[in-house]
Parts: sequence; C-alpha cells; structure tokens
Amino acid sequence: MGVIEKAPLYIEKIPGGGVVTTSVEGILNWSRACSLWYLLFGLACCAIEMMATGASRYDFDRLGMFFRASPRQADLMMVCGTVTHKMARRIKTLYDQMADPKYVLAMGGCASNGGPFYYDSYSVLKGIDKVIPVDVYIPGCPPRPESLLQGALKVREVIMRQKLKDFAGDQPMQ
Amino acid sequence: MTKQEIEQKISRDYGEHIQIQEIDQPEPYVYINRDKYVEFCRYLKNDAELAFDFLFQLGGSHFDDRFEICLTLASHKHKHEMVLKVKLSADDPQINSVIDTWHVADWYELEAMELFGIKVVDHPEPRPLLLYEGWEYGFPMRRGWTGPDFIPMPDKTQSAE
Amino acid sequence: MSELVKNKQLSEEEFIINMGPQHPSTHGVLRLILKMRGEFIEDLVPDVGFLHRAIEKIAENRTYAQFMPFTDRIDYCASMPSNLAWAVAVEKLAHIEVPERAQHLRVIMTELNRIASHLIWLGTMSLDLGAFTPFLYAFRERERILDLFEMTCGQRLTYNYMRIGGVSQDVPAEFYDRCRSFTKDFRKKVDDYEAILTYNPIFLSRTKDIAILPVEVGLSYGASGPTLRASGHDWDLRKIHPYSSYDKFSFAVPIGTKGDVWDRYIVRIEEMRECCAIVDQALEGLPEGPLKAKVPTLFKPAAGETFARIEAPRGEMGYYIIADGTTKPYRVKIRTASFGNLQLLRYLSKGWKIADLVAIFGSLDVILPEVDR
Repeated sequence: MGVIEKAPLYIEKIPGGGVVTTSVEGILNWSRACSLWYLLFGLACCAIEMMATGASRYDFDRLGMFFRASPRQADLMMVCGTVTHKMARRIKTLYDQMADPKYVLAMGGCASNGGPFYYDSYSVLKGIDKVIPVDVYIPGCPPRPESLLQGALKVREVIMRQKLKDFAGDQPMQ
Repeated sequence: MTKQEIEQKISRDYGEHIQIQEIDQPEPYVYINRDKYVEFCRYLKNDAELAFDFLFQLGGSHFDDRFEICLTLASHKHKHEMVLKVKLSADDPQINSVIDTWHVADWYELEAMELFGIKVVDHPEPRPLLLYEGWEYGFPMRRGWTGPDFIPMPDKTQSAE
Repeated sequence: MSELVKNKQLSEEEFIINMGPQHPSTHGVLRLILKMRGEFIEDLVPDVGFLHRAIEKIAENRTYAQFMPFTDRIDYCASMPSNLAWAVAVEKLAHIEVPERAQHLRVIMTELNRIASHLIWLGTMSLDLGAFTPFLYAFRERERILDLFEMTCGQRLTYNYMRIGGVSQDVPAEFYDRCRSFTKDFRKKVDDYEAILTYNPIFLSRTKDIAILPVEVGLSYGASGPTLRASGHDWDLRKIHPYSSYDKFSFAVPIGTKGDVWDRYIVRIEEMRECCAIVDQALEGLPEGPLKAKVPTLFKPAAGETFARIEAPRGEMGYYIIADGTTKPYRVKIRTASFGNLQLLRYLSKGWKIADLVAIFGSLDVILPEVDR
C-alpha cells in the first residue's frame, strides 16, 4: 500500500513529467487490492448485512468494492449465509467460473463451520471450506457491518502479501 | 359459528366417520377416517355454514405406532378455524390428495412425501422439493432417523434436573 | 417481424431456460425453470430447497426457550414477528398470561420491524426494476430503525428479543424520544419514495395491469398478507383474530382494488404509514409493570396440541405444536407466508414476458428461507 504515500521519494523530475519506480509485484498487488469487485452471492441472513454494508451508512464503494452479478466479472466471492448440500455443488461451479486471481471470504458462522445449524441438521454443509479454499473467515451471526469491513481489509492484506511467483511457474492455467 | 356448533353440525352430517378430540383449545380438533377424507374436505369447503376456504397448513407427524396428517383450516367468510387429522398406518402410510379442493396443498403434500415417506397417491406431479438430487438416506423427519453428517446435540438439560 | 414468422422464414420455438440459484433478482436462492416461447413464458416451475436447514428437526431437540433464536432465522427480514409467533403459540399451549407492558412493547417492536421489512422489499424491488436511488434511501431509514433495536436488545438483525411469557429487556430512556422523532420524519420520507416511484411513467408501464390476482384464486393458493389485500379482500389477522393487545389500537388496513403489481406495491407503502400510527399510539399509552410472566426455567407444558397464527409482514405465519409433557416439543410444524405466496408465481406469470416476471416476483415479496425452512 506504500506506493502512493512514498511517491515523492520515487518521483524523479525529468523534462516532460514525473517518473515513478516501483516493483511489478507492488503495482500489481496494489491495483488488485484497491479495486476488488465482489460477487453478489447472498444466501441467507448475512446477505442483508452485506447489502446494508454496501448501502448508505457503511459504504463499500469507498474501498473500491462494487457488486457484480456475474462470476466472470468478480474477484472476490463473499459467501454470506448457510450453505446446504444442494447449494454446495453450485458454489463449486461458480467458484470455477471466476477468473484468476480470485479470493473467498466466508462471512458469518454458517459459512465458516455450520453456525447454529451444526447440530441436528441433516442438510447443512458444515462450512464452505469443505468445498472451496477460503482466505478470510468472519465470525458472527450475523457479523456487524464493521466486522465485514475489517474482513474486506484483511483480504486486501492477503493480496498485498502475494508474491509474483504464486502466479507464474508450473501452475496450470485453469 | 362456535366450537360446539361446528362439532354438532359435522357430527350430524358425518357422525360415524369422525371422532372429536377432547382438548382445552378454542377450536374443534377432529379425526376423520382415511377413506372419507377427500369427500369430507370438499364438504368442509363447499358447505355454506362452514365455508372453510383457506388451508392454513398441512403437515405430517410420526408417532410410535402410526403416522398422522394434520390440516389446519380457516374460514374467511365466517372467521372460524378448525384442525382436521387423519391417522395412517405405520408400515404403509398412504393418503389421497386434496389439491382439487385447495391448490396450496400441492407443495405441502410434496414435503410430506419427501420428508416422512407418506405416499400421496393421486398427486399430479410428484417430484422432490426440498432435499438434494440423489438423496438416498431415507426419510429424515421420522423419529429416530440418523444419517451421514447428522450430528445430534449433546443433551445438557438432564444435569440441571 | 410477425410476417417473417408466419411465412416460416424465422421460426419461433419453445425452449427451456434456467434462472439459476445465483441471480440478482431472485431474492435468495431460488431456481426457476422457465419454458419460454420467444419472450413469453408458457410455464414455470420453481425449484426450492437450496436453503433447507431442517429447522423442524432441530426443534425436536431443543427446549421451548432454546428454539427462540431459530425462529429469527426463518424470516430474518422480520425477526420480531417470527419471535412473536413462537411466543404466542407456546403461550396458547400452556395458557400463560402476558403482562400488559410486555404486550405493548411487543407491538412496538413488531410494527417497527414491519416497517424495516417493507423497506428491504422496497429497496430490492426498485433495484430489480432499475431504480437504484430508492434502495439507498430505504436502507438509510432502515439504519435508524436498527439503531433503535440495537439500543434495546443489542442486535441488528436477528434479535431473540421475545421470551415465553414476555420480553427480555426493557427499552432505555433515550428510546422514547428517538422513536418519536423517527416516526415523525418517516412519514415525510414515504412521501419522497412515492414521489420517485408511484406515478413515474416507467414504473407504471412496468407494473400497472400486470398479473392480476382474483381473490378466490388467491385463497385457494394460500396467499395472505398484502398480496391478498391488494386484490380487494379485507383480511388482516390483527383486526379479525386480535392477539397481543392489537385490539387496543386504532389503525386502518389498506386494501387494493384490482390486484395487479401496482396495487401490491401501493398497499405496502400505505402499510408503512399505518405502522407509524400504531407505534405512536403504543408509545403514548405504555403502562408500567413487569416484563415477563412467571415461567419456570425448565418449562414443561402439559401434553397437548395447539396452533397459532399472526400477521407477519409477508402474510400469515404460524406454528402447530404437539407437546408430550417434556421440556422439548414433540413436533413443530412451521407455516410461513411465502410458502403459499410462491406457489402463486406459477399461476401469475403465464403469458407474461420474462421482464415482467421480475416485477411480479418482486411484488409477491417472497423470502426463501421461509419457503425452505
């Protein structure tokens, strides 16, 4: 996140304009983190809190995050709500349809490990990390909008720590 | 109509097929024989004094020795309510559909078929409603059912007593 | 265009399209399988069950008080009425008298939650029809209601506020002034929403005379609440079978005339105004007294059965409970409003275009966990 703050150190004045030097990793991570578009994927109660976080009082748009309806256009999948076995297959399909690099945020108790429906329920999947890899877990039932905003900032930290070699090398193109 | 008036009227018309349950609630609770069930429902809806035109809910229950279907009916014309119950056998529970009388019974009967295993013999479109495709672990709402990924809650209330 | 079709140079055929579980307009996880002919819908089958969490099975292994938080999650947009339905049903089973202060507090919370639920409906329906501004306005007002709830019971969405026999906490001192100022401002805000939407030519052309519902069909399909009242049928459980001290307040019940999408919209807008009137009256006459009746900690009602129903924002919601004399119920059957309202979608959408389907579905105000439980 240091590019813009340290800009005066890096800018060299040459005739015709300023030049900024940074690393490729830095500029790629910064541009990914500051413009995360999330997939509108509300399943249950946490979806209302996600909508409230994106609405007037707690605004997602100031972080550069805006909702997209199609998985092809989204970077971040916020799974908000209880995941049942019937829905789990569709979540895997949607996750595969998202383009790399993609991140997953499990919002609420139900998405993290089953929540209040852990006991005595025959149709609830106990956590979505049984189906897709998760980057950030947010506890709560439902979590407050401030928790969700902190979770989104944690995703940004995850992105800023990424190295170039994670995206290159012997990883097959999906 | 009050509870006594409803009970008297249906005893007069269908006396030998019904059994009125003694219960401390303001609505009549009535058991009907399985073979007169559809005809009785049609009578309850079309009769001018009873006029039960709203089916509030239809659900199944599982007891040790039998299954039961329970309907809650309400009348928008006369503003009274009643509960109708049918006893079914434990090994082969079957019942007819009342979808011609109240359309809303459609999905209620699908749910009873799927979760309890009560066969609704002339339902127009039987299909799974709530469970996922490929569910093969039985009928989950029956008492004493267990299956994979079903974790019962440990009972902590016993120690308080 | 139609000459080309008639001369068989362009063919129009039936095809099946899937409006999948992840879709911005199906509020929740609903899958619709549509049989289309060109742009028109011939038949539609809803595929539900994506949020079936087995709440009825859970109820058989929880005590009556432990089940209260689960009732919140059945309809999370209107948690207070869902709590109230369970409390009313268990109190009817065990013949418990609720003190008067608790009853008035229940009415205040239920009506405020009715406004919040209608605001979510308004925001999402106008978002589907293409208007983004009412969504932001509605959620801004809703935040003020959630502040009131958070002041009272600490939660924003799933409150667990009611108890068997009363309520759990009293309202703090700041509640009275903030609630009064909210209801005073809210009436003007509803006028703002009406100025954007109600007589807007685009909104009218998308909602007027679309999907008219006759009353007998609605009754047969189990419709209730504003969906049925918009067709001209005067039926509100708060007036017909009053529960929890609703008979002490005077309010009007808005009724529609024709039963199209516009009528279902206008009935809910008027209901929001009436809710403000009820809240003001309940706050005026709030008596002193205990908050909860004396109910033993390990509450064991006598064996028996009961059913009770209340007027939730979406329609009639109720429970049928079979008790066997222990601390846990034997069987709980949950009846929710959206289960009946969603079965109407198949009848209402035949012959309309797929863009009208979005408007029709928005006007039915269906919420999926109510259908799936």
